[in-house]
Amino acid sequence: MFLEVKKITKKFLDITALNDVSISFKKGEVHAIVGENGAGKSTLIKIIGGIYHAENGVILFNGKEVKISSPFEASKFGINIVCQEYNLVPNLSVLDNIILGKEPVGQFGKINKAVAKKHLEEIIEKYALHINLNKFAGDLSAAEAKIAEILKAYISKLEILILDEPTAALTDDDVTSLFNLIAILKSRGITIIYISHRLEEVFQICDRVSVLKDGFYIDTFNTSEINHDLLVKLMVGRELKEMFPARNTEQLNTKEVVLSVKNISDDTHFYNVSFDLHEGEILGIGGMTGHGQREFIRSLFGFHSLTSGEFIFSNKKNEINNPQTAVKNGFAFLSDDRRNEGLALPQSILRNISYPSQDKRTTFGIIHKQQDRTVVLKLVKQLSIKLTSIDQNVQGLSGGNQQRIVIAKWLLVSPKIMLFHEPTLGIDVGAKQEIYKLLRLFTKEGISIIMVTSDMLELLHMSDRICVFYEGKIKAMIPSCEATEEIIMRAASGKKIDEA
Amino acid sequence: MKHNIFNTSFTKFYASIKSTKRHSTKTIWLLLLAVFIIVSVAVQEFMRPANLANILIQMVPLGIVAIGQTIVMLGGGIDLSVGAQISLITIIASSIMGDSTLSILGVMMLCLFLGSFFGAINGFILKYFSIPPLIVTLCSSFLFQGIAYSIHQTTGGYIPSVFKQIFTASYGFISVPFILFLILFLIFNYLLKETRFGRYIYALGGNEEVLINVGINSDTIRIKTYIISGFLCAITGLYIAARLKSGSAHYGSDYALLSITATVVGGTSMAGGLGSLSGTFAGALMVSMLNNVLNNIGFKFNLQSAFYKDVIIGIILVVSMFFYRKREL
Repeated sequence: MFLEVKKITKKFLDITALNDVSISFKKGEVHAIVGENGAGKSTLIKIIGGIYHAENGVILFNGKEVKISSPFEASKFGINIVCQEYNLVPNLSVLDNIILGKEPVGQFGKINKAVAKKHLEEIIEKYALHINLNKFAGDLSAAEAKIAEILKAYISKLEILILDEPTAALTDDDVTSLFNLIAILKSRGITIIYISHRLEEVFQICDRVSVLKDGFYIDTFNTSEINHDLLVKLMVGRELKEMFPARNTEQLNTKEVVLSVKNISDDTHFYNVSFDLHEGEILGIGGMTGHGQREFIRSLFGFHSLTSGEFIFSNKKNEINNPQTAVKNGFAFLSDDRRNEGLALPQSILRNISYPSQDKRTTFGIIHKQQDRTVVLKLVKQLSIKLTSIDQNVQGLSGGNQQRIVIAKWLLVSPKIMLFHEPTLGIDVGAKQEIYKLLRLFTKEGISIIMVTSDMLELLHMSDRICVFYEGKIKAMIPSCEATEEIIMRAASGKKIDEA
Repeated sequence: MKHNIFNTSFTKFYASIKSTKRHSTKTIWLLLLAVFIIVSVAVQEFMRPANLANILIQMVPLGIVAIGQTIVMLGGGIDLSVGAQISLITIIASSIMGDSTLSILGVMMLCLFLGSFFGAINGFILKYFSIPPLIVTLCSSFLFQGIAYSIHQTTGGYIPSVFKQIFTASYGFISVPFILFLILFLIFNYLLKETRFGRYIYALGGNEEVLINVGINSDTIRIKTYIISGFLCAITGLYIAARLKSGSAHYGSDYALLSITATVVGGTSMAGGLGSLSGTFAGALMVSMLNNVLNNIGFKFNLQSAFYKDVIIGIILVVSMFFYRKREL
C-alpha cells in the first residue's frame, strides 16, 4: 500500500472525532472519503496533512512509519492538502502565492518572475485552466482560489493531493474544469483523496470510497461495486426520523403572517427578495454558498443597508437599520461565526447568556446579580447545557453547548423571529439532534425561524418551506412535502425545477 | 490577432483597476501635491529654494526611521521603541566618540551593531514570549529610555566637528543626508519589491499560516524586520547626534508616533501585508512639509506652533485614513 493510516484516534475535548480508524490508499487512485457532517472526514485528512496530530495510531508511507508534524513536513513527503478554508495571502498576486517559498532567484537576490510565469503559463495553457496569474489572491472567486491552491501543490513535489469539499462553492462549469484537472493528475500517478458530500461526484470521478460514521471507520468499496442508496444507508446508519423531530402538523399558511418581506434588494448580493413568514414556521434558505444568502439573512438583522424594498411586521411598515432595532422588534440572530459574533469567548456562561437581556435585570445601571444567576441557571437546566458552573468560560465548551448558550441568551429577550445562519455548523451528530428538537419546540411556542443552511439534510427535513437562492434571487420556493434533493440542487444551480 | 491584443490590454487595464483598489500610493502623492500647492500659494516664504531644500533635509531622520517602521508594519508588527532607540544611540555616540578617524569609524560601526542588536532584542522577546508586538516594543522602549537616562540625564556629550560637517554637508538641493536617505530608500524598496525576503515580509503580514506551510521560518523573518528597524534607528541616531553635536535622552521621543504616522498616512495597513515604501516616502515628506510650514507661520504670527503642528498632523492622519477606509485589509 502506498499510504496507510492505522488505528487513528483523535479527541477534541470531550468529543471523539476519530475512533480507531484505519484506511489504506493505493498509488494513483482517486479515493473518496464520505460521511455525514461530523463523521470525522475533515479531521482524518487534516491528520494526514499534518494540521492535526492524532493521539493514537500511525501513518505508513510506502510501508514506512512517518511522523507528519506540520503541513510543511507533509509537503516534503509530497502530501499536499487543499482545505475548505481559504489558504492564500490575499495581498499577493496569484503568481506570488503559487511560487511562495520556491521563488527562482537571480542576480542581487532578485526574484525571477518571468521564468516562473512562463512555466506556469505553459501549465495553464496545457490544461486549459481558467486563472489569471496577475490578479490579487484576495480578488479570486472560490473556483479560482481552488485552482490556484492546486497549482501551488502541483509545482512542488506532489504525490498525494487531498481535496476537502472542493466543489462546495463551485458552479457547474467550474466543477467540470476541476474534474478535468483531477483526471490529469490521476493520469500522472498522483493519488487523490477526495472529500465530498455530493455522492454523484464520488461515483463520477472516484475509484474507491471509504465510509466514516460518527468517527468510526465503516468500510471501503470499489465505486463500481456499490450503489448510491447503499452508500447513503452506510453513511447515515440511522433512520432520518430519529435524527429529525416530526414536523408540526398544523396548517401553517392559515396562521398569522409575522413578517412580510417585500422586494428587498441591496443591489450587490441579493435582488427583489419577497416572502411571507408565518407564525411557528421554519423557512429554510438553501443554495450554493455565495449566492447572497449570507448577506440576505444579515440584512434582516440590520447589518447591511438595503437599497430598496420594505419589511412589514407588527401590522405596519417597519425599518431595520441596525441590530438594535432588530432586537427591539423581536428578532434574534445566530451567526455562522459563533466564536466571533455569537459569544464573548473568554467570559463566563453567565455573562454571555445575560448580555442581551441585561436591561431587564438592572436598576439605575446596577445589575441584580442574584436574579441574573437564578434566571440563567433555570435556562441552562431547561436547555440541558453540560457545564460544571455558570461561571465557567465558554471557550472550552463543545460546539453544541456553545450553540445552546447562544440560543439561551436570545430566549431571554423572548424573540418572535429567530434567524439562524448555519444552525449546526461545527456541532457533532448527537448535539445536532438536540438542537433540532429545540428548534421544533420553539416553533410550537409560536416563534418563527428563518434558517440559512448548507446542510442538505437539515434543509430538507427541518424546513416547512424551502427557499432556494441563485445569484441573489429566489429561484424556487418549495413546500416541504414536494422538496427533494434533486429539485433543490437543480434550483441551486440555476435551472428551472421542471427542466430535465 | 487584433482581438488578442485588445484582450490582453484589457486584462492589464482591468488588473490595474483592481490593484488600485488594493493598494495605491497615488492617493497620498496626490494629497501631498494638493497640500504643496495650497501652502505654496498661502505662505510666501515657503517657495524659497533654500526653504524647499531645507524640507528635504528635515525629512531625513523621520524618513529613515519610517523605512524601518514600514518594514515592521508590513510584517504585521509595530515598533514603538524606535524613539528610545534613537535617543540611546545619540547618547552612546556622543559619550564615546573621539576626534580620530579611527574613533569616529569605530563608534559608527558600534552604533550600527548596537542598533541591530536592540532590534534583535525586540524580535527575540516576540518569538520566545509570544506577547503582542505593541506591548513588547512599549516595554523595550522603557528599557532603552531608562538606559539612556542612566548614562546622561541632560543634553551633552561630545561630537567632533568633522563628523558633523561630513554628515550635514549640503550644496543647494544636494545634501549628504538626503542622498543617504535616497540610497537607503532605494535599497530597501528593492529588497521589498524584488527579493524573496521582501515577498516573505508581505506574506508574514498577510497570512502567516501560509508562509509557515511552505516551510519558511516566519519567526526569523519577523526578527529580521525588527533588526532592520533597529539598524535604521542607529543611522538616524548618528545623524541626529551629528546635526545637534550632542546626545540626549529625549532627541528621539517624537519619532515613534511620527514614524507610525508617516507609514500609515503612506497607506501601509495596520494589519500588515499591504503597503509600500513609496507611500511612506510621501507620508514622511508630508509630515515634515507641514512641520516646516507651521514653523514659518508660527514664527510670523508669534503662535504656539507646536500646538498647531500636532492638530494639523492629527487632521492629516484622519483625512488620509478616510481615503483608505474602503480598502480591503
